[in-house]
Amino acid sequence: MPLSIAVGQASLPGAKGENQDFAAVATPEHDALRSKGVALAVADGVGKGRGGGALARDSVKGILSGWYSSPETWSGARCLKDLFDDRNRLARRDHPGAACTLTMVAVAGRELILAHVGDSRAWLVRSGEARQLSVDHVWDDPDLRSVLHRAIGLDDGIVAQLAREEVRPGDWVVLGTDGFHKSFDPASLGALLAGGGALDDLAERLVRTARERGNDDDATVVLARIDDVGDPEASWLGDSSRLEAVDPPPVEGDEFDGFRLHRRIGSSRTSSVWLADDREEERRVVLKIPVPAAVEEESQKAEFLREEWLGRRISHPGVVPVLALRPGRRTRLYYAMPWTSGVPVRRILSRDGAMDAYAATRLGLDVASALRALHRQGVLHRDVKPDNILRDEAGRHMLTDLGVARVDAFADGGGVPGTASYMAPELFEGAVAQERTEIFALGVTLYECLTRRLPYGEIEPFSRPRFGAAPPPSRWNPDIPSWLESIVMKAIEPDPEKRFQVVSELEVLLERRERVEDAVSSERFDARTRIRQWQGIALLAVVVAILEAIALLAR
Amino acid sequence: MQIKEFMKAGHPPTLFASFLYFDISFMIWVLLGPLGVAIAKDLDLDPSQKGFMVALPYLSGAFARFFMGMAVDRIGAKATGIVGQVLVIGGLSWAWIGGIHTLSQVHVLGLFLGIAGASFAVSLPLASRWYPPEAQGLAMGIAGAGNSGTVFSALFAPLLAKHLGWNAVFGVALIPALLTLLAFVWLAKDAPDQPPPKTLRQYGKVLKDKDTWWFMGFYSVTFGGFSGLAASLVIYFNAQFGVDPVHAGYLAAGCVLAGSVARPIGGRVADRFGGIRSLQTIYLVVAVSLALVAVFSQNIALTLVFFVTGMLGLGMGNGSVFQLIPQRFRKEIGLLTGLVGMAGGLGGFYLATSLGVAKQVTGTYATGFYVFVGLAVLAFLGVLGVKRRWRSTWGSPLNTTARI
Repeated sequence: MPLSIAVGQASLPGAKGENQDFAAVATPEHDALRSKGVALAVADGVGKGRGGGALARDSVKGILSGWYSSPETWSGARCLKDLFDDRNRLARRDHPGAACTLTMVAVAGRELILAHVGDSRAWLVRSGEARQLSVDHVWDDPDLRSVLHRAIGLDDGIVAQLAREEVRPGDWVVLGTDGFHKSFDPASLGALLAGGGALDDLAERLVRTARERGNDDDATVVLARIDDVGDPEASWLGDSSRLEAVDPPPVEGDEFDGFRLHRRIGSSRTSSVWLADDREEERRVVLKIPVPAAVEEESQKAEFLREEWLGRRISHPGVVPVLALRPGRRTRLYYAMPWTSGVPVRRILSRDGAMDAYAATRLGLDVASALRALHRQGVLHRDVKPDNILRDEAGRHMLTDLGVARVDAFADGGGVPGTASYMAPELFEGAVAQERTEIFALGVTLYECLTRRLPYGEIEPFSRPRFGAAPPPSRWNPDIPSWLESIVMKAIEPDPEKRFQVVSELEVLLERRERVEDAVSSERFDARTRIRQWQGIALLAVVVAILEAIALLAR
Repeated sequence: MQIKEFMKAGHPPTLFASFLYFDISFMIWVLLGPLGVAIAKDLDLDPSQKGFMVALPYLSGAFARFFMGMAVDRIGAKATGIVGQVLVIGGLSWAWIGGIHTLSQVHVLGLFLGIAGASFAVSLPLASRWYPPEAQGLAMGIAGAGNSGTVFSALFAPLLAKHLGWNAVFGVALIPALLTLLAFVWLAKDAPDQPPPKTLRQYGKVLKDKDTWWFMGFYSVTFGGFSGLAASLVIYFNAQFGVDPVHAGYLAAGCVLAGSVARPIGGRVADRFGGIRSLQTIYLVVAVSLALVAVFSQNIALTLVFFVTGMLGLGMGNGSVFQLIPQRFRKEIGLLTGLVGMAGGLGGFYLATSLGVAKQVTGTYATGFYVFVGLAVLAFLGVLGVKRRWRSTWGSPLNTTARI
């Protein structure tokens, strides 16, 4: 059942003339309703002669349009933080000297999210009881009672209050500027809302009542009555939730939904990947078909569908996308990707041996660029390794398999997935994946591509290894230039603080073929190894001496 | 997980009671092994009858584990433990008071002793359910350290048998059995959150996973080896080298102690280097050790040395398998411990019986050992396969609830 909300609003200018308040509501349909929900916003402009009203209007319109165009892969909180920063920055630039409050609530699925600065207020009214959700950002001093300490345009930086609440059918969300709430006892709100009737009229009545009570400021109120909540799962799954995996494992020649399976190109514990002909669109595609046992439970199925959902929303040449199929075409659970001539780097390594510096640098740059795009969208891949990187005929690399990706917009269930040999040390201690752990995986991948060995050896899943000093790649392949080596070594630093912190750091150095500044020089490694060798020889000599002594004495 | 956090996280009295219950139960479970020489003399048993006699509790234990596992889910671990212990006490009392005069009576007693072996299915869930997932491995390790009960049997049973007669030993065993029952009733408590009972369908699902079968196979070799040897060592030292039961008991106790102590070490090694990699080395060590036992079957000193190395390997193998299980089968851990435990019991039954049969049919125990060596080699090859299959992505993202 989709979210169903009835809305109404009213705004009365105050005694001082031009109305400096502004309010707006957005009630989209279908996909936007499912992902971003219904959004309400009010703003109260401060500084009459200085364009407070214009700022209020710009802020409300800006934040609502920004909300609906923000990436779906970002969490609501991240979007709103970003949007409030934008609004503040634009206010300082376009309306210097003016300020305004800004209070916004979005309701989607079964939740609402609030983002707020200023002294306008937001309430949640449930069963006749009104609870204020927003915090009044005014000085709590009798003399300073109506001085804002947080507002759009007030300062260079801004910190919005963010809050989340569960919503139920029958709940009301009410937003109001101080022209309304200064003369309104929230306790009476519940009773007034129960009155019924068209919401616009109800809102009108509320602001008029506020005026009658002697409040001569601009008064604005926005009402939203939640008639039906959405289903959080369906909010992003859509129709695909009814799809099920089919039991007999797929074989060459299978035909379904207008696809004909041509050849299997990969398989894992949880799924198989097939080259197929798309009869309907007359093209070749790649299908990822889950193993039924791996999608038996609803949560597992949701994971597979999340993988598809995510793939549909990433568009970067360095990431293999997911194709949007005609709605209703699929009768079973799988998803399609465009056919690419890409070969997994893993296979290239076994076929052709270690890569040279040029090829590795190319790979590093392509993958780094892809990771940067993913991170910008609030997505962490979490499984970077040669098996998940494809190289096409033109020598371009693409990341594939978003199966364990972490998406900002989805609540984190905990758990630390990945492939053990490519996981950063802090992940084994239970840390959360971040850019630095992705960099580590990329570093290990580069190391492996250059030397066909793993810097810390093959790490088994379910173990907690100790990370000592890795031998520099030049130990295995002396042709590796020292600048590349220094970059790889910094990327695979066990101490996360000493590693690259953001992907672009690594990318810039690769591009410019530049050496890492604070690199640990290779000479030190060689010296350590040399000392060890001499120690070994000395020990051997001592042992031999002792044995000889014993032999002599025994004679 | 730090020790302090661990102690606060769960329920120490229950953990202690589980450990005690498991320890004493294990002691009782393997009782026939050390007493085997004395019983065989009085009842005039041949080698294969001897082998079967000490092996039977493992067989009945394997099945009892399954049923007790089901009972644990339905009536709670504490209640099941009490019922099991009462049955065991009943069996011991019957054996002591009525006396054992025929082989069939020994077999009946063996069946009852098997119930003590199923204590595994009670102790582990009882203790671990109090703890959060990340600590369950450690909790099970502590409760499972009750393996050491076998050492007590080997140390004391022959000595008691010599002075009081083997029948009286069953009576003596009643003392710790009753004390444990009391402590158990008083200290142990079922954890508040009980997972729902496991259905046969769930067992079916978990049996479809290749890894389940491999783990069962791995544990049937490591635990089968450990328990099979624990049951057979006294008889072996006596029959092969003519050592008297009491001293054979001491030698056996030493070997079993090595195996017991090695279990947590195996867990640690698995943690550091990976359980699969550890098992690789372990199976080779076990295979070589037991092969050398067969080769040097005339030299008691070397035999002892290689039994110890073999037991160290087997003990470590037990620890490694159980380090892997809670992590690999996070959600189905109860199902796995039940199945794997059963497989271990069957392995012990097989080894003890096969040694007896080998001696009976060929005149030496060597064949029995060599076949087991073959199984260890098979396990080694199996590990290589698992290692290859496990070189992939693990863990699910667990994030499928969209938020606004």
